[in-house]
Amino acid sequence: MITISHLTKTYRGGVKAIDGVSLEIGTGMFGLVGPNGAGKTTFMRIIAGLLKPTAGEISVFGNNLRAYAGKQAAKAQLGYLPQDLGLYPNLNAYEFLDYMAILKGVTSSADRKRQIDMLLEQVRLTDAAKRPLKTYSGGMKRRVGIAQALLGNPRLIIVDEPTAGLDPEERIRFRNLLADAAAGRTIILSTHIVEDISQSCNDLAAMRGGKVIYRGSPQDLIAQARGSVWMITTQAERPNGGLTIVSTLQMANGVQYRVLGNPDGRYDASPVEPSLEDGYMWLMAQANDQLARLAASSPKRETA
Amino acid sequence: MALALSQTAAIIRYELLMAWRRRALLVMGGFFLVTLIGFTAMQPPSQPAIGDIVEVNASANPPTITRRDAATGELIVEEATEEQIQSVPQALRDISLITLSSTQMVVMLVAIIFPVLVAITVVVFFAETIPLDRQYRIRELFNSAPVSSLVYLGSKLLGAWAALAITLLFVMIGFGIFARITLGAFDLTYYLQSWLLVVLPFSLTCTGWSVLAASGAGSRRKAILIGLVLLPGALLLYTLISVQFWSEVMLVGSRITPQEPLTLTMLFGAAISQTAAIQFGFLISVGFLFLVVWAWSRMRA
Repeated sequence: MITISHLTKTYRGGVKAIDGVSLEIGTGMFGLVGPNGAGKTTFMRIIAGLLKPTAGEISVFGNNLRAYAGKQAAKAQLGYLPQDLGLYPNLNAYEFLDYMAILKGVTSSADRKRQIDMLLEQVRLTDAAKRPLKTYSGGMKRRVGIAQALLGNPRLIIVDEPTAGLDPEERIRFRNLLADAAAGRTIILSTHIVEDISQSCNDLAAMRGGKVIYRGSPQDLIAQARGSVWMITTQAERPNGGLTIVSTLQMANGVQYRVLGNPDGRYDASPVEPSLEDGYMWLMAQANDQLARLAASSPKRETA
Repeated sequence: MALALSQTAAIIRYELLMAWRRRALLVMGGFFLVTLIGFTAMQPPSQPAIGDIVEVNASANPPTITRRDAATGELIVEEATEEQIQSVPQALRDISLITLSSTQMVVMLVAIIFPVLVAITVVVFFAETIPLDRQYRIRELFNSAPVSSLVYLGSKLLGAWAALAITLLFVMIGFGIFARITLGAFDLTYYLQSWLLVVLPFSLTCTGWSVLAASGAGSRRKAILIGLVLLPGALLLYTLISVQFWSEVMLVGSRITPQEPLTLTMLFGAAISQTAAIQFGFLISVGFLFLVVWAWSRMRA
C-alpha cells in the first residue's frame, strides 16, 4: 500500500508542481492521466524516491520516504521506467540487464540469468540480446527499459509514458505484459494515451495543475460523461457554442463531429455512449469551467 | 554489506568493460606509450661505458675491468691495470656503467617526464566518469535502485582507478620491453619502484581529484571544463614531486665518499621514497574530497 498525504512539491522559483495531494494506492494497475505540466512526472519521481517533497508524507509499503533508510528500503522493492530512459550504448541488452539486476539486489548469478532470460523472452529481445544497445531502435530500447523495470520481482513498478514511441503492436504487447505483472503488485502507469488506461487499469487518478481532480474507476469516469457526448453530422461550419470537439471524421454526406457539451437545436445531434477518452475530456472541460468561474468570482482590483 | 560489495564489484566491472569498449583505455595507453617511446628516442645515445670500459671492479682482488670488445660486442672481464682504474672516476667504480646509465635513463623518464603526461591527460579524461551517467540519462536508474551514494561514488572512483592502473600496467610493460631492447639492461627494482611509488600515487591523486570534483557536473562538456580547471593544480603537484625527485638525485654527489661509492640505491633510493611519501600525503586529499562530495550527495538524496 502506498499512502500519500498532503504532498506538496515547490520548485525553485516558486513553481508548485504538486499541491497538497493525498492518495492511497493499493495493488493492481493504477493509471495516472493529465495534461502536460499537470505534475504527473514530479509525482512519480517523488514516489520513486528521486525527488524530495517540499511538504507532506509518503509511505511505500510502510517505509517512510522522508527517512534515508526508509527510502532505501522502498527502492529495494521498486522497478522504475523513467520517461526519458537512457542506456549504456556500449553494453548489450544482456549485460545491461545483468548490471541493473545486481544494482537491484539480485546477487545470485543463477537467479539473474534465469530472470534475464525470461524477461528477454517476454519483451522479445532474445535474438538481439548480444547486440550493442547503440544499434537498437527506439522501440527496442523501450523494451529493454521495460525489462529492467521488471527485474528483481519488484512490489512496486512505476512507469512513466512507457508506450511513447512504440508501434501499436508493441504497445498492446507491453500493456498486456504490465497487466500480467500487476498480479499481487502495484503498478503506477502514467500516460497521455487514455486508451492504455482504459484497457489495463481499474483505478485511476487525473491530475491538473498539481492537484488530483479525479480519483476512481474508469467506469465511473465514463459514467460521469454520459449524456454529454454527442455525434453531429453537418455540412455547415464546425459546431460551436461551448462544445468541445473530441474527433472529426470526413464522411460522404458531410463532416461527423464527436462533441462534448450540450448542443443546441441548430444541430442534428444524437447521443452516443462515452469512452474513457470522452470521460477524460469531459473532466478537463469541467476543470476549465471551474477555473474560469473562480477567476470571474475573484474580486477585481480597482485601478486608480 | 554483501549487497554493497556486489554492487561495488558490478560497477567497477562494467565501468572497465565500457571504458574498454569505448577504446578509451586503448587510446590513453597508446598515447602514453608512444609519447614515452618518442621521448626516449629523442635522448642522446646512452653512454654505457667510459671508453670501452663497462665496469671497473676496483674492490676485487685483484681489481678487474669489464670491457666491450669493439669487433664482436662481447663483454670481456680481465685484470685491471692501475691506469684503467684511474681512468674511471672514484664514484663510478664498482658499478655496472651500462646498468647505471640505462637505469638512470628509464627512471628519469618514468619519474620525471611521464607524470607530466599523466597530469595533462587524466584530469580531463576521467572528469567525465560520473557525468557520463547523466549524459546517457542512466542516473535516474541508479537513483531508483537501492544503491547508496557511498557505494555509487566509491565504486565510480575505484572503477576509474582500476582503469588507470590497468593502463599504467600496460604502459609499464610496453615501455619496459622497449627500453630493454633499445637501452640495454636496467635495474628492474628501481624501474618498478618508480612506477609504483612515484607514477601510480600521482596518477591516483590526479584521477581522484578529477572524478570527484566533476561529479556534480550535468554534462560531459562541463566535466571536461572542470578537468581543465584542475589542470594547473595537477601541474603544481607535478612540479612539487619532480623538484623533490631531482633535488634528491642532485644531492647524491655530496654523499659519495671513498667508503661509500655510488650505488643505484644511493642515486634513486631516497629520491623515490621521499617523493612517494609526499605523494601519499596528497592521496589523503582525495579522501577528504571524497568525504565532502559524499556528504553533499547524501544531503541531496
